Amino acid sequence: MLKAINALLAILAGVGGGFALYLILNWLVERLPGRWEDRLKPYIFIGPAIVFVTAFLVYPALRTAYLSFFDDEGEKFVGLANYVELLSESDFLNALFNNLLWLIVVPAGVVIAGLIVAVLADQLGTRSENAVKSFIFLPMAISFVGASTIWRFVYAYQPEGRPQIGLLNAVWTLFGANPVAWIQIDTARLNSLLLMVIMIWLQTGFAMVLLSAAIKNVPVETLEAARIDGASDVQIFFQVVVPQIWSTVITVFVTVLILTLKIFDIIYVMTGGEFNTDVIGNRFITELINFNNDGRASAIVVMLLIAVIPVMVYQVRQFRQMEATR
Amino acid sequence: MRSRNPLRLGALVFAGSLVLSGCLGTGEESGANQPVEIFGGITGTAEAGLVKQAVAEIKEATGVNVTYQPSRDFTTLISSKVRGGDAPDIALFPQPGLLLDMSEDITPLGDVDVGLDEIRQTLIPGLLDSATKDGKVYGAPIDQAPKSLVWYPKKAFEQAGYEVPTTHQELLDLTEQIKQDGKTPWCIGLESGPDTGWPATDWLEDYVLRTAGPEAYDQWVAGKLEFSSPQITEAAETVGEIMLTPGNVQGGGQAIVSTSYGDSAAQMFENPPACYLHRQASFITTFFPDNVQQNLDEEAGVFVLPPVEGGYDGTPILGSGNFAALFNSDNENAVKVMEYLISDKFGTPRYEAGGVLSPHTTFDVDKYPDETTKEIARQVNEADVYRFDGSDLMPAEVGTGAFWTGMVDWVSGQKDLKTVLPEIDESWPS
Repeated sequence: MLKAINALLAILAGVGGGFALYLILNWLVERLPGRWEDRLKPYIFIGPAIVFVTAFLVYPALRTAYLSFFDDEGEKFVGLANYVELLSESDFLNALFNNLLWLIVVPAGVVIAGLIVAVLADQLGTRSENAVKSFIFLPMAISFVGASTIWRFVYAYQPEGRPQIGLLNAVWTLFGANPVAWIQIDTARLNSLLLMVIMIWLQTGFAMVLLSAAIKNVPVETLEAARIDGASDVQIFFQVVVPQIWSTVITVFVTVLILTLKIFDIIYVMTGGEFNTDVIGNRFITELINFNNDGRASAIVVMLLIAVIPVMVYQVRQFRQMEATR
Repeated sequence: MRSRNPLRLGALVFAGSLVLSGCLGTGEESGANQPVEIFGGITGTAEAGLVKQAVAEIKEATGVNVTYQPSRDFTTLISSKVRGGDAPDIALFPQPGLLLDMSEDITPLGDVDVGLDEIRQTLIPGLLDSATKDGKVYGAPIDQAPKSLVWYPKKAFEQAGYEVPTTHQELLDLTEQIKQDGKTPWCIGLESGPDTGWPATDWLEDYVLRTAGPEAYDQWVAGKLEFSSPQITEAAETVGEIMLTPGNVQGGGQAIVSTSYGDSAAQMFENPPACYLHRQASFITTFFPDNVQQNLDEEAGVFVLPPVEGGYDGTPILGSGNFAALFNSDNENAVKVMEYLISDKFGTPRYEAGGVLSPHTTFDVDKYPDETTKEIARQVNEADVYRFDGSDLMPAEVGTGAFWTGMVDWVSGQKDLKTVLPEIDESWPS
């Protein structure tokens, strides 16, 4: 009860304080001579936001980069030792490779699955389309941890002769096959791929909503023109529809990609990084929380940060192009 | 006029928000009524209920308002809490190694009046060493669970005419005999969420104590004897002989790795039993089916994992326990609670319920609830050596990292011993 009142008071005080700050600053600026008022006013309004981003994003990022050159306690300068050490460990390289796989398979899988659902649902009547879409969208509401817990039961394994409680093994053994410990099979990274299915399952709804809206926005005239020219449905889809929704496809792909870069929960819950399924997000948590090694944990995050930069650059460029053609 | 006096409005809102923030309650009272927050990893329905009882006991004995906050993710959360300046008043660590990692934030027991000298006299010898660094004691055990125990489903076991083995060879012979009868001898499970693998580290530790002996064990735990040394390799091979010989465990290594340790224990009491032997700590009884827990003496049998011929001459006991550490010595009530928590007066209701034992030799064995627990307590008091769970004493990189992963890789059949043991050695921080 006390906590709820505290939270309410904090929100009121915070919002009120912020409002008051703007009012006072605005009043002060308005006292200035006209020219100065115009010059300073934008900074008055954007200033606090910049201060917050600097304090809570830029400063911690720089501090992390700084710590990555120090030992586990953040006291002794060790140069590039953390990076060299990590990059020469087979476990870490393995995690990097897994991450790369996640980055390719998951966004692609989400886009393809979302596209298929969007196109097929588009063929239905309005009512059943909405029903189908709501159904597919449902997993979006589940947290990664919750979803992983659900999928643990899908992949569960019991030795031969015991009742199979796992859905996949129940189906598998129905055809007379022996039960398989799915999560332990790292041949061709099968177990990692099975974990990726969880994320695709979660995110397909998101892709579907955006792509479906984009498909509905494709002008009917272009489709009719193609049809008159004798194009088949497949040709129309790939040569008329897809180019027109391409920017949405890219947006979905990049959004899911960034989400995937930070993946950790699914691995933590499903395998704890065992059986060659580790990813750098999970490695980071292990180093920071379990091993208390600030230096190595920071080095991992910095590498993750560097990996995101090209994606960000690409996205910003794409965004600018879209603005330019509008 | 641009606005009706915005300065006055702004000042008013600002003043208002200051007043509001001044109203923020901290929820803390000071002085004699200051409550004490205990954070720990003791969870599970049965256990948590017992801890609640223990909390009530503390309230009664000290008059302090105590709250207990349990978490399955204690290991992860305590370190983020301490880093974030949100340390509890008292924390119960299942791993003294982790406790010592945080010694900077913990009040040494010698600095406050909590009766350190008294408990030195009453505790099982050696237990306090696990939480001592540079001569200072940072924590004290509040309970103790011997791990070198082998459980069996008493009725089915006796019906089949099996006998409790007293030597390692007899244990192997019994395993063979059960297999000859067309049954599965062992139930073993290593799955434990993000902590998967720990039961296998206990197996190895138990056999290091039995084959190489306590001195080698101490050196190994301290990092002076390598995992890839002949002594440790031999102990691991002994473990492998039981765990990985085909037919010893249903489904073999892959099943061992994916079965949760609690489930594997319960399988003993299926009808017919899925297995006849299960090596696990005393707390495993809380995972037994309800009807077994209620008639523990009739349903479950237990013996100490027998010594290995040609190895250490005597019976060692491997054990674990929760260590209490004091984070907030400014809170006088916390000091008072701490003193009671680590004394031999604490926990009677909890020990009476079974599962865990008192770490104090002065505890009256007859107070334990059933013959099974009494017998275990007697065996522990008679044991030649008591050693704390080694993986909990090793640096976290090894004890909660490479050691777990290594055992899982080995048991699941992904890697062999020759690959796994040197890999664990490499993880040891320099």
